[in-house]
Amino acid sequence: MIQPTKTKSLAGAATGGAAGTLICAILASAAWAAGNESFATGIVFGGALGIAGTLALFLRSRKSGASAEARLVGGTADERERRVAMRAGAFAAVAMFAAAVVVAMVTAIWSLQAMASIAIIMYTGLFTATGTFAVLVRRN
Amino acid sequence: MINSVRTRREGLGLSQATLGESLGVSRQTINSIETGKYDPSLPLAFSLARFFSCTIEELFNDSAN
Repeated sequence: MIQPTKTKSLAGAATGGAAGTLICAILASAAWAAGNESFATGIVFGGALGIAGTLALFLRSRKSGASAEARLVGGTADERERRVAMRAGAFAAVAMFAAAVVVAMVTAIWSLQAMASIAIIMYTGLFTATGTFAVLVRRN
Repeated sequence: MINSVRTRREGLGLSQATLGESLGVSRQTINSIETGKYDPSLPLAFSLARFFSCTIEELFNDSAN
């Protein structure tokens, strides 16, 4: 059974944001040190965009009439929205698996860069999860 | 699943938002339940039944199954 969730506190959200920033900084530093400057730049911009988007949704979740996406981020999503989120996660996992198979074949044939392979799989998961959630939560 | 949530809610003169607020769910979830797109969990079904002072069987009709 899906259990009710507690609203995320500001301190909890701040800790999450700080942890996300730290992880992005470590990954970007490691990529930069390894000579992948463009990859490091991508991490910085992508991370900043992700954190800013999450923060905006979290702040929006505090207001009345917040969207399902905002309520999910803010921890105030109800059982239907959390069930949809689980389904979206499952869709994303399947999509990432399919992407991994395709990327493995492409890599074997055309020697795709490892960084590009990872990025394709991760972005497939990200876009599938967010897109599927946005569609399903409005149709179910 | 067919249910009488809309009839009972309208009978009390409540909006979907008000009912949702009383039960701790969103207006969209109440709408999904009323239109039969979403079957609520057992705890939410009990909450709905308690709110309308009836049994779950009176609120939900599974004759389609």
